[in-house]
Amino acid sequence: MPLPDLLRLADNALSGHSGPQLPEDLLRLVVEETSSRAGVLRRGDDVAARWPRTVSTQVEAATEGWTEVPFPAADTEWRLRLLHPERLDEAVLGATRLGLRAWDLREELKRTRFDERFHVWELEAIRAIATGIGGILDPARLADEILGHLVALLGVRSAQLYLGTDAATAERVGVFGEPVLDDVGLAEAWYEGVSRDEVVALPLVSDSTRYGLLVAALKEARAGTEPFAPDDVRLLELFAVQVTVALEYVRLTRESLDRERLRQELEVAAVIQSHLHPRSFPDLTGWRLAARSSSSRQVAGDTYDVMVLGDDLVVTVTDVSGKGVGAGMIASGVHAGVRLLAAGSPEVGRVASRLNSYLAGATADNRFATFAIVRLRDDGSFVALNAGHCPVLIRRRAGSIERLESSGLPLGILESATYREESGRLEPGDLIVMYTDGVTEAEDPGGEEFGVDRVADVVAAAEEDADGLCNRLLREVTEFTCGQPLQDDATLLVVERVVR
Amino acid sequence: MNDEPIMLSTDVLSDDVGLIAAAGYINNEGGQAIADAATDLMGRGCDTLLIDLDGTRIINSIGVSILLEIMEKLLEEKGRLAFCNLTPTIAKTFEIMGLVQYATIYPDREAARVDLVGHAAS
Repeated sequence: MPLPDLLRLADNALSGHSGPQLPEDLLRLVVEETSSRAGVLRRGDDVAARWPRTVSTQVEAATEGWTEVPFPAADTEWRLRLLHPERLDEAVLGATRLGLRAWDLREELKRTRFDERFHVWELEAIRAIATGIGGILDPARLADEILGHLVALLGVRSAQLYLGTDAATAERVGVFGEPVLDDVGLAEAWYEGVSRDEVVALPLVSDSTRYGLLVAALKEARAGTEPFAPDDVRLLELFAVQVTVALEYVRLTRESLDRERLRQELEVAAVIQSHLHPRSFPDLTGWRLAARSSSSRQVAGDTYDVMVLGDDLVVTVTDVSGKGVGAGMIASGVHAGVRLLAAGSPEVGRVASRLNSYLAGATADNRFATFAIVRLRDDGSFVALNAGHCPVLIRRRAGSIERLESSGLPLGILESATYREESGRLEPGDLIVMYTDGVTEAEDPGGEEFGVDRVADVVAAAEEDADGLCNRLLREVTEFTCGQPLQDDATLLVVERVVR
Repeated sequence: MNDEPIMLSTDVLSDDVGLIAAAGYINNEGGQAIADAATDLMGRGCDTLLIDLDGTRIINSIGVSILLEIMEKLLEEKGRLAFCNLTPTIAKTFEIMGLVQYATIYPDREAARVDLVGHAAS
């Protein structure tokens, strides 16, 4: 009873219990029911089933007596061809139509289910990329991860990730399959992208940075390849956004790590430099010393030193042009040089000349250093030298101020520069004040500088000892600037000859 | 990452259990190669197929649809489909695409062999 079988087959198809053999089963039953010699079932141009299976296309073409019955469908028409059917009534045709319709519905349901799941797969891939590549800083690993998902989801035979600021220097960090863009194609796609049937290339650009290009090509179909559909481009755009976010994360993380490393290095440099300054002053009979130093950055271009060399007390202040690490390194070099040279020669002029020679050829960016040195003997006599530095102030016990002005260029400007020594004597109660331009160039809110004269006035009027004078001078500067932090490194060194 | 062309080998583990070891990109070509191997094994009486994906990192949607068809054919023959050595990404893909509803997933080939054939490799 083929007709009941036909109906049962249709029912099975509708309930989803039929398998891929249904078209053949259906055709076989129709051939039997109609007592046909053979049958062919076509869907569009494709053959869905033949019965008997031995009926080839050639046999079909060479044989006469075929009856063709079309079954219109929403998308592709079914065509039933029967060879010499003995009976073909409406009941059989109705059951066949029902079976084919059921088959169509079954296939549509499968496609819909597949598409739904595929969309979940898309979302899962985007989620996996977003969560999985967050910690990857190596571009090659990043590319591997991203291209793996992209190739799987888009079903492409070729995908590449290029990174760089322009097409000419871009590096291909990830590649799957044979690259499809040559140098010219890459240059064309770099800024505007490309969207053609066989290739889609999307620039990877954030608000502030151009990172590269994501390329996908040769989208697979069941047989061969097919043009990219709008949904494919949309999916690739999602990938491009994810890649850009990941690359932005890599860039920011690297910058953050670099900043942190630099901060740590600066901290170390600042600690090293702070240890160059005297941690305590020598306990010298007849002398009292005090110093203050602050830097506008972690590493200062100012440095000062106090040395006891035999019976002599040697004090120096140095200010290297510029700020920060570069200035600090030179300041540290000068600091070491002064120590070595002053220990080997009592002549401050010779110390300055040697330092000048060294510095004149030592810095690529023509940095220089102002420098002041005073060598005091225990009887109060001194020899001093000022190389381009702020005037060294000598305050006499009665309150008068004398200035030791610069006698030459700062160190490092001209190798042949010469320096003149000055000599004098500190009586008990006199003191010497050495400072850098961070003190004199401190500005009030109106932009006026504190200046050497104000320093001299404060020093002249002060009745405190060396330490108290430092405090007073800095307090006056702070009041002058209305509490604004100093814009430059500032150093202050006071040497007081004590009244016995 | 290369395009990883498919490398395929087959074996009969017992009278009714066939093995397909597939390494490489499972796309339309790779998927079709697996489908052909499956048809061959089914023709030799294997109604249970184990597909070992050790060495396979990427499977695309066409590859998945071909595997679904293999599963459908096996189910029609009252057979079974099993997989082993899946990467986490492919395992997740199979879960999403509905393959794990009707196929069994094993961590490796030995675990599959013990369960499907009843004894470990000699």
